[in-house]
Formats: sequence, C-alpha cells, structure tokens
Amino acid sequence: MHCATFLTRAVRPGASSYDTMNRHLLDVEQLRVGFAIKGRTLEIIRGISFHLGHQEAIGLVGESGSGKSLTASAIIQLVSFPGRILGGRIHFEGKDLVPLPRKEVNRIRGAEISMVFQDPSTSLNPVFSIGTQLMDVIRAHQGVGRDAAVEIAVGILESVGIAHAKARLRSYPHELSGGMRQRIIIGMAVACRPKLLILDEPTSALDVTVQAQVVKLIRRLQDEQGFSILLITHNLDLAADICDRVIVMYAGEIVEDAPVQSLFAAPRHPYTRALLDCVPRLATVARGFDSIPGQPPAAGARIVGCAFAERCSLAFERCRHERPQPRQVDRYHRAACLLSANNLVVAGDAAGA
Amino acid sequence: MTEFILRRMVFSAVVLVVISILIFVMMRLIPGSPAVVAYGADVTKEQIQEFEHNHGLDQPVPLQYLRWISGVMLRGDFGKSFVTDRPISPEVAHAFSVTLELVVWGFGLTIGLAVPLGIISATRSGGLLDHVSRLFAVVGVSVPGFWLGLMLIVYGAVRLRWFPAGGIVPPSQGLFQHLWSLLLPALSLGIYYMAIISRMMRSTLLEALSQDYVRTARAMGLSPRRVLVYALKNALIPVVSVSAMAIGFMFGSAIVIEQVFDIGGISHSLLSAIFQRDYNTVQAVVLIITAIFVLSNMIADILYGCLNPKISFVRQR
Amino acid sequence: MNQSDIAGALPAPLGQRCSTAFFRLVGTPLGAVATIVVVAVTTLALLAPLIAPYDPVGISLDQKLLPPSLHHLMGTDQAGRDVFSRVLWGGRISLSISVLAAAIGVFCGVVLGVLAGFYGGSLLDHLIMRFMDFLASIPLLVWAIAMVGAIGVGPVNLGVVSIGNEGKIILLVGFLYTPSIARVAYGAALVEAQADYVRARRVQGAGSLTLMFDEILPNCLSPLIVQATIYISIGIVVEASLSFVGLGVQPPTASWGAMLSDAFNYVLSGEWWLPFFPGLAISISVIGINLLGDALRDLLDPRGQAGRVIV
Repeated sequence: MHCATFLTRAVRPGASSYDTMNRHLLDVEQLRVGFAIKGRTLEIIRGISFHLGHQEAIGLVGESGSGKSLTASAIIQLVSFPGRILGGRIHFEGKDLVPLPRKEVNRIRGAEISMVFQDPSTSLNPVFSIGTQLMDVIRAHQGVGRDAAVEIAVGILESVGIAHAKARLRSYPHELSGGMRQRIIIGMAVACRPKLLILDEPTSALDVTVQAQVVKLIRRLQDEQGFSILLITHNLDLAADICDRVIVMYAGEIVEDAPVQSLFAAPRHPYTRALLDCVPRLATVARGFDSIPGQPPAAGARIVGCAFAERCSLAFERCRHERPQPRQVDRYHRAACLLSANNLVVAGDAAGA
Repeated sequence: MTEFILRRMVFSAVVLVVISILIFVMMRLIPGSPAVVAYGADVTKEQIQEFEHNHGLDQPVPLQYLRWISGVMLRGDFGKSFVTDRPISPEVAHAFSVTLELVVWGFGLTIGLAVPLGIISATRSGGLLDHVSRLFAVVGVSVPGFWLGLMLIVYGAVRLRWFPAGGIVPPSQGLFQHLWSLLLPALSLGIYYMAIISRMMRSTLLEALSQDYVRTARAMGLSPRRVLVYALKNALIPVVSVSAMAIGFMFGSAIVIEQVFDIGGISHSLLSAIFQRDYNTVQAVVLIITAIFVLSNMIADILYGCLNPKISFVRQR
Repeated sequence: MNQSDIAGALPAPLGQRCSTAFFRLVGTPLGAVATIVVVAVTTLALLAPLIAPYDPVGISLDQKLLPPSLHHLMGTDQAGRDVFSRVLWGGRISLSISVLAAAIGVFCGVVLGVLAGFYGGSLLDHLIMRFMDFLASIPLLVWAIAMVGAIGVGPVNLGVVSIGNEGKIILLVGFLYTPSIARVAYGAALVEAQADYVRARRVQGAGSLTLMFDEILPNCLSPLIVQATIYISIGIVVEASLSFVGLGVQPPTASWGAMLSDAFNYVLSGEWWLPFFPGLAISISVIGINLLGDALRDLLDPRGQAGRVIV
C-alpha cells in the first residue's frame, strides 16, 4: 500500500519549502482564474497562493471541479477561451508570467516549463509520426539540424524505455499502446530539460499495471534531471508516491498545504480528513466505503464563508460567514480552517464518524 | 486497406454497369423510331428498315447492348449519331475537353479561394471576415450558379465591360485573354462548393484546434505556425474528400452554366442531342457524366478512408 | 437501455411535440428570420391570383421591355407581360413543383426506409438499401435532364391520366430524392424498431404494419423534416435549371426558371430586370428554406442525422 512509501523516502536534497522566498522556482500569488460566459464572469480559482521549490515535487489534489487542472493550465499560460486569468501573479524564477508577451511564453513552454496531459490517446497528433513530433519539440528549443535531432530523439525514446527506438520514430501514435504513448509524451516534455514538469492526471487513463511503470519513469527522470514536479491528481496515493508535499484544493481554494507525511498522518482540514477517509484501506474496509455527503459548490458560484461548511461535520456558525485564510499550523504545514486557527487538531475518528 | 479500396471500386464498377444498362434501355423504350426523327414524318418503311439496320436497331436489345458496351469499354467507341451518322466519340471527346478545362479552372478557383478563407475564418473566428464568410456561405449555397452567371454577364460584361460579352475567347487569341474569359463561368460553376468548402474548412480547423494534441503541441512550445500545421493536416482530410465530390458536381452543373456563357462543351452536345432526338449521343454523354460523378464520389470515399492513419488502421482491424 | 426507458415513459404525443418545437423554432433569431421569409414567400405565391396586378400570360406588345416603374414594379418582358405578376404566378408553379417533388421523395423514401429498417438485417433490408445506394450514385440534374428530354416535353397520356411536363418533373425528380430520405428513415427506423415500447406493443398483438406507421414513423419525423426541407430548396433550383434549358415548364406558363430562360436572350441588351427579379426570387426562397432547414436541424436533430446545408 502506497501510504507506507512516503515514510521511507528520503527528503530530496535541495528541496525547499518556505525557507527562502527568493529561491523558489515557482511562486503563485493570489491567483484568480475564471470564465467569461454570457456577459458574466464566473470565478473558478478564487485566490490561491503557494510555492514550489527547486527539485521539489508537489501534488495538487482535489475533486473534479476543484480547479486543480485550471491552476496547471494557468501556470503554463494555456487557459483556453473563454477562461482567463483574472488576477494574481505567477512568478517563475522571479519573473511574473502573467503579463509576458506570447513569444516569451512560447519560449518558456517546453524548455523551462513543460506539461503532460491526461489522455495519451488524444495527446499525440494522429497524422504525424512520433518521430516528427519529437523532433519538432527538440528543434523548437534547440537550434540543431535534422540529423542531430534524430540522434537526440532516439536518445529520448531509449531513456523512456521504448525498444527499437530508431524504427519507432516512424511509427504513428495509434500503433502504440497507451503506456508507450504516455512515456513518449513524458519524454517529449523533458526533452529540453525543463525546470518544472507539470503532470495533469498522468496515469488516470492508463491500466493499473501500466500506471506503476509510468510512475517509476517519472521518479527516475526526476532523479536524473532534477526538475521540479507539479502533479495534478485526484489520487492521493499517487501523490504520496511521487510528491514531497501535497496541496489540497476545494472549490477553487487551497485548504491545506503540507509535507506528505504530515498530511497523511495529521491532516488539519476536515476536507482532507474526509478525503483520506474515502480512500479504502485494508484496515478499515470492514467499515464500508465512506464518501463525503453533499456536492461541492457549483462552479463560479458566489461563496460566503468557508466553501466546505455545508458538508463539514465540524462546521460552526462562524464558518458560514468568515472565509478561512490559510494559516501556518506547523513549520511547513498550512491549513485554511477556523478550527486549526484555534489550534484544534482534527483528530482521527472524531470527524465524520 | 486494399480490401476497402477494392470494395469501393467494385461497387462503383457495378453501379456503372447497371447505369449503362439503364440508360441503354431507357433510350430504347422511347416510342417511335429514331428514323422518323432523322428523316422526318414522311419517312418510308424502307428508309426505316435501312436506318435501323444501319444502326443495328433490328437486333435483339441485349445483343445491341453488349455490342455497344463492348465498343465503349474496349475501343471507346460510342457508336454513330442517329442524326448526323458520324461517330460520336471524337465529337464528344472534344466537347468533354472543353468542359474539362472549365471544370479545372472552376475547381482551382474554388479550392484556391475557399480553403484560405476557411482557414482565416477559423484562426480569426468571430472577426469580421468570419461573419462575412458565413454570409457568403449562406448566399453561395442558395443562389443558383447559372443565375449568378447571368447577373455577372449583365454587370461584368455589359455594364462594366471588364469581361468579353460573347462567349469564350479561344487560346489562339492569347492565353491570358482565354483564361480571363473563362473566369466568370468558372466562378459561377464554383460558387456552390466554394461556400460549402470554406465553411467546412473553418469548422474542421476549429475542431482540430480544440483537440488535445494541439494543446500538447502548444504546451511543448511549438511555434504558432507549426501548431497551425499540426491542426491543418488533420482538418484538411474531410475537406479533400469533399473536394473530390465537387468535381463530379461541377461536371453536372456545367450543363447549365455552359449554356449561359455559350461554351461549346458537353452541355451543347447533350442538349442539342436531346432536342434532335439523337439518343445515341444522349446515352453517350449521360454515361460519361455519370461515370465521372460515380468516380469522383468513389475517390472521395477512398480518400476519406485512407488519409487518416487512425481510421485506416481501425479499418484494418 | 435507450432514452425512452430512462424517461420512464413513452415519447410525448406527437401534437404536443410539434407545438413545443414550433415555439422553440421562432424563439431563435435564425429560426425567426427563416420562418418569416418562408411564410412570406409562400403567402405571396398562394395569393398570386389575388395580388398580381396583371395577367401573367396576357401579351401586350406595345408594353414590351419596359424597365421597372411604378406601374410595373419589376418591368415588363419581351411580350409586354408584367414581370412582377409573372414572378408571383411563377412562384406558385416553382414552389408547388418543389414541394410536390419533395413530397414524392419523402413518401417513397419513408416507405422504403422504414420497411428496410423494420426488417433490419433481412434480405429485404439488403435489397432495398443496395438499391438506394445505387440510386444515390446517379447525378440528379443530369438524369433529370436526360429523362425529361428522352420522354419529351409534351404531355404524356397514360390512359386516363395526362401528365404534363410539370408532373413529369415532379415524379422523376421526386423519385431521385428517394435514396437520401430512405437512408434517414432507415437509420431512425432501425433504432426505433429495437425500442422497448415497440416490443411491448408487439407483445400486445399489434401487427407489423400498424407498428411501422403508428409507433415508429412519428419518431423518425425529426431528421425527415429537415431532409425534406433541404430537398424543397434543391427542387426549386432543379426546376429552374430544367426550365432554363427548355425542359421544364413550357411557355407561356411562367415559372422562375422559364423566365430566366426568356431573359437569357436579353442579357446582352441591357434589360437587366428580366433575369434579375426571377433569380432574386429564387435566391430569397432558397435562402429562406435553407435557413429554415438549418434552424429545424438545430432544433430537432442536433446530432445531425440529416444532411447539413450550411455549416
């Protein structure tokens, strides 16, 4: 069971958290993203702030609709119309990405920040060979000639574990399995040695057996190249596997932000607690499957107070009026809950039982 | 893949054979002997018999058909005209070459204008050009091409004198003048599919641009131009297929358009044959036009099935 | 399980669905404009005998070739006939030919398509649909010209009934419409024939014929209406083309195509109103009907079983 691995994995050397603001790779400040539909603007991401350090891996976890994918799209400046960034700053290596001109953003994409999407079966262009697509990425950022690009492409395919790499260059995506495609896409993403790799549900569309391979590949590549990872997922175990730190999102807000050990061992937000309860564990299977009663707020709806108040079994009167701000509850641990502000620890079985 | 192509080809061949039988029988069913038409109402019995023997009409119909079809397929010989008693093939061939030139010009104009228009409409979706092209599409698909031709003559040739008023300038008088004189007919011929293809290009490109592989390409930092190429190669597939159909359509449309512009192509052959009761010629022209139509549809089907590696792969399985 | 199962009920009664559909149609800007145009054109055509200021076939040579004026809104033609009146009367002819041809196509197509779909998979199905595939390979205009031309433009006597040229066009062109309609009806019938409510009624003892017409047919209507609308607009242009080359409506009867044919001789001599107004009438009618077809399709058949005219 994955929850054991984080206890044994060493903290990565060089992984930083809140220590030095200046040396963060990625610094998101009060980011707001919304959709403009029929004259109104629906705010989906309602002001989130977090940091990502060099060589650090963080997971962005939440239900669908929590805004985690949109956050990733915003960072790489690929929010598609009618969505747009409404406010806030995204500092990458000290430079704010939001006002950057298109050309600069294009230069950064692929070379400094790269992204892998969920479904490998639709992420590759069906009418171009994978060799062409690989080499396009290589030649977009490295001014190399065709032959050199071929060499590099072959090298990348081999490094992600594709056999007969040279012949494979001529294959078309539909000739390959889902796992192979995802590995190639990951290879494309790290081809130009980006500093930040964003992965949006990289294994959700894959078979369970293949998922493990891809996870291994990601971890190996990170060890070899030393890039930071931003992992978007609804799968807590996957986050535990890959990440040093986990950020939990709900209804477009960050509700908790903690190193992975702390999060799993001592969650400080009722939502996180409820999420962890939902994951079936051997010991608790006898209790039956839990699920959080109720629905998250409708996308873009105006929310007064805490977004989770309606579904929270620990909610009290203030929760419905006052929106909890993320507060430091421990050295590296933040939570946005009025309870944690009062230093009330959300203990194990007391919540939701 | 090859199985797919073969199946389509066999189907088209069968269709053509059945159609040839159909035309042949249809022409034979018309009451009254063609001899009457050729010689007039006061034709004598002997003249009728001689005429019918001359054209092999006294033989049993199936045999006539076999002789005819074998002549067509083996030698390209469509027989002799009932009216002029001259071989049909050379004249029809000449007429077709004239029409072919018109269709090529029309097709080139159509693709040359419609595809870029569609691409720009998609990349600047919601802009002025997009709205104009949408209006153009509604009008282009609805307005009869031959009426457009008439009005173009009225304004272009008579009022503005930009174009020659009477017919087509032959190439001997200058290649440019020749092509220029074919411009109005080509436009009239092409407008229908220009409207269809421009909107189709727009919608297929918009759809391609919203696909995941385009998102990935952008995320990998490919230049906007390269991303457009990525999308275009996918978006063009259905457009190419529809364009093949356009060719067949244009040959049919030419029948009316050529009349408007006094072009001596298949339209003249067909219509004068009809009014002169020259059924041999009618059946030849109809068969050829239908064959072109069937072939162009077949090519369109085959292209659609083959160009997209994903679809052809699925078909293989 | 199909959608009617999920709804937990039979599909709503036909009348109710029609009226809901109508109100939703005129609610959209596209639908409203299209409906207005089509209604206007139809009304003008229907009321032609009442509103036409002059006799459409009466010759008065002293009035010939007059440009548009207050007396003759669209001018006069080479025989002194008022163009406006001829356009109105011509509309009756052109529209009735198109509508009737579409009706024939719908009738034949529906019968064949529902039959084939109901007995889906059987020999009958294969025979019918293969024949439809074959018919669909024939270019419409070319064959309409050839067939009408072969039969000749005079009236055809079949014993009791005499079919004029218009009748010939209606029958021949309508017959050529059959494949598309049949395909649409076939697809819908194939799906509906598997529906549970059909099986339920069959268990109750309903005969095949009853089933086909009572239950299946009404539910195939949506894509059929769209396709039929498209064919009406095609029919107008086909009739115009046929009349233009002399194989359609014969003089002195006015139809839009016949007027264009007459006008052809005057193109080079500057009487622009002769080809302009009939052609304009055709264009407006066709645009209106096409837009209506699009609006209907967006409304009734959003998944696009019927053909698209304008994307």
